[in-house]
Amino acid sequence: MFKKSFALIGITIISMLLIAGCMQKQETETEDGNPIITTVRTLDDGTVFKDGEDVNNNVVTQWAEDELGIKFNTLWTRPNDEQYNQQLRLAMSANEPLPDVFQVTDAQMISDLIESGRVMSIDDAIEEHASPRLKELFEQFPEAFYQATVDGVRYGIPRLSGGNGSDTVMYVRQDWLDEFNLEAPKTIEELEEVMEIFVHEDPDGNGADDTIGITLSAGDVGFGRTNVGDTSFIFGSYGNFMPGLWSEAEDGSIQYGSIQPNMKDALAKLNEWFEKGYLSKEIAIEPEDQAQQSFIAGKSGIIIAPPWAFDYPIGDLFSNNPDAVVKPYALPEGIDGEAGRKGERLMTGSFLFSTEFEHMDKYFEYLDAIYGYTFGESDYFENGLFEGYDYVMQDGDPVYDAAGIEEITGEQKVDPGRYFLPTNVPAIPYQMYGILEEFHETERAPESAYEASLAGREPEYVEAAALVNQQNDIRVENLFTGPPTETMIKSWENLERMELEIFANIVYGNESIDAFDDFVERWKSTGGEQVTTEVNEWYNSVQ
Amino acid sequence: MEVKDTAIKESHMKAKLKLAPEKQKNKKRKQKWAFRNNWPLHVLLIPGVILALVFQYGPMAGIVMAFQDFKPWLGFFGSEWVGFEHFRAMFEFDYARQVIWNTLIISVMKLITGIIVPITIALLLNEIYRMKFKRTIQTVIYLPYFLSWVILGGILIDILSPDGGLINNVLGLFGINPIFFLGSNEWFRSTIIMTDIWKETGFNTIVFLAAITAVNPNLYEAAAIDGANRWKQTLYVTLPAMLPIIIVVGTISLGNILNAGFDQIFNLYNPLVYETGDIIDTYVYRVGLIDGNFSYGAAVGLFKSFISLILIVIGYRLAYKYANYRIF
Repeated sequence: MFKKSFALIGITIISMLLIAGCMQKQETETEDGNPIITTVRTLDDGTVFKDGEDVNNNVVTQWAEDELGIKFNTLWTRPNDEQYNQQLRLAMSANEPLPDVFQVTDAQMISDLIESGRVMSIDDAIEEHASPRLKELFEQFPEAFYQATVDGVRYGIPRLSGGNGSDTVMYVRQDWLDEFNLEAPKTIEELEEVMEIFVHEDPDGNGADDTIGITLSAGDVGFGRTNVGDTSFIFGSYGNFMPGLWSEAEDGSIQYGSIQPNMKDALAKLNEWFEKGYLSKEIAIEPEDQAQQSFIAGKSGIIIAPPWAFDYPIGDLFSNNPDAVVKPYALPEGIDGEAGRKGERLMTGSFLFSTEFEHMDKYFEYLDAIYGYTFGESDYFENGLFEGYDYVMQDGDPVYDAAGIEEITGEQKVDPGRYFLPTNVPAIPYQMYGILEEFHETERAPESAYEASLAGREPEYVEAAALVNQQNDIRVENLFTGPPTETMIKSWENLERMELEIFANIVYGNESIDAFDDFVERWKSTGGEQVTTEVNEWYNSVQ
Repeated sequence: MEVKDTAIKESHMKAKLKLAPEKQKNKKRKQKWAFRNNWPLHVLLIPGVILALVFQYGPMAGIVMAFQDFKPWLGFFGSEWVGFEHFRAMFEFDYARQVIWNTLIISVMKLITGIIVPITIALLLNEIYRMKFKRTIQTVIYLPYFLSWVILGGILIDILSPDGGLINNVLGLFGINPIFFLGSNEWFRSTIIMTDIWKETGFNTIVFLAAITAVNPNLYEAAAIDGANRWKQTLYVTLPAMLPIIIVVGTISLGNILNAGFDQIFNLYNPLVYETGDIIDTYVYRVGLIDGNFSYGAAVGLFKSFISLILIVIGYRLAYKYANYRIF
């Protein structure tokens, strides 16, 4: 009898623990009456905490509590978007209470959440609580709100990106150019001449015929969808559409790039380059990170990549070959100066707010405070974010570079910007490369802590950023940021697979270029036309 | 005589009848007694059973989405029922047939080579006299089994590259033009099967080697006395003795016949070889997880599981009939 009751007690305790685990009680205010804002977030491996700090207790949460009177409570974190989305979806289907504020990148999930009625409209909140400079910022980039707009009502605050941060330039092996007394190519024809020499004249001087002209990547994701090895400029040299992107046509509607006539010309050109050995034989096989190896290994003379690629992967080239010289140049143009490149989206996800959240004023106060750093006008971040983290003071002057900080404090530089709600220092589209362009062109001195932290980057990087910013007028952006439409869910796999297959096969010469017309017909008739209509319906509904 | 016989029979039967209820009672008592003594062990079993129910059987409820027009925000209870709509769409869609066909070809080839190659290697290894040499070979063959396809994918793309990849360099020495192993529809399936053999052979080889060691040495002696040479011994002693384990391995793989190897193909395929290399699992991945067509993806996956179940039952019956092997 005793044993039996013992077992019963044991089982009861276990089940109570299980139930208790599912029912965490949530406080909405601290003891001092400060509001508690609950959130969830991704916390990637790049986010470093100092000893004793964690996501709920660090210099940023402390600052928010002391200065703004906001206590953040991060309920859970996940290391990447994929797992984060999964967790969020689970929480949604289990009908768990939503956190007060949280960021979502997946357009489908945003639309699901809005449809479920559990996140609130923010139109009034912006009007009431956003600071003038935030309002101005929001008005400057209305498209960034489209992702979380339904029937003209806005539900999300976009997490703005650097705008052109991952737009590309052409990095060229200057030592190879000099060896053959060549000028950097400005047009597609000049590029071909340079590649011809790079391929056949043994620029790496090893006596073997083992170099290619240009490092491009398509891999399993397809043409026009990579950053390092971006192919979009070739398509841009023949017209205004980019593979994989929905962009505006002359009639004002938005159309899918991959079925437009300029694809055909560009694919014919790529096929010609492939046959001539200018491209890697594995352009359609290797993923981006493997394709870039040809440039790192010194087997390729040109790589199309975003400015940041100068650190990595291009930086690896210098450890393999210390004599290598790489310089950034503007993307080559086509006939009649026609040019275009794939443009990064203005935002990566949106912040959504639970209908039960009552402190929108506090959220905007916080957002404005951290944006102050990026604006360069801040009450809190005069010399940098947090002393001892991203900068240290020496003789009254701030030091920003990692090596210097390590020398002075003996501790590694830590980026507290990643502790912020947007998981990084908040960005303003085009601003960062704009500042870098000014540094490059006018050599003006940095005027704020934010600008000072940007100064002192490698001159090649600064130049590349300046070039990207100067070519802003040729960027083509994906205008479709909404959730997949009904027909898209049904037939996109088929449509996209047809596209990837035909593109790769034309470049490899397995299919004649005329097969492209046939593909366009099939694309339209097997759902593409319907998808286009739906995408335009969406676009008209959010504007 | 006759009377006596029946009398004896009767008494026997009576005895039996008498005994029977007592035996049953005894058995019952014994069971009860066993449970009274062993109940802590049963309690220890509970977490495992709960885990299995929660993680193995619970998610099966998700199958219903194959018969719904599933919308995540509506959930299983709110989504509209569409019956066999998704299955109909699958069979009417040419490409789905192509994908099923690819899956079958690749997995049948893998099934056959996955038995023949390890048996051959096991038999050859068995003939090696030096233990050290044999063990070294065995280890080396076994090693790739522990690498994940994610890593191997990168390595293989490099090795098989037509631009100075190892394999094509070697072929070049014999005057063979570079072959596009991962980029041509003629070569992709063979490459998949070859690399699969390379990676997986070691495991089955060890299983078969174990079976060979279990053969009674007397049989070899008897065969030798009858004048059988090594080859005949292999043919008439070793192979028949291995037959049960071969059937078991074959049966188990039969259940996997529609698994052509997602990890492997996902890491090696590309748009150039969708035509011959796209399999059910990669297709379901793209449709269901990438494009969010959950219901259709679930329907294709369910269809796959259903066929697999039938094959497992058939395989199990065959194994029971011909090798007297039972799992359950």
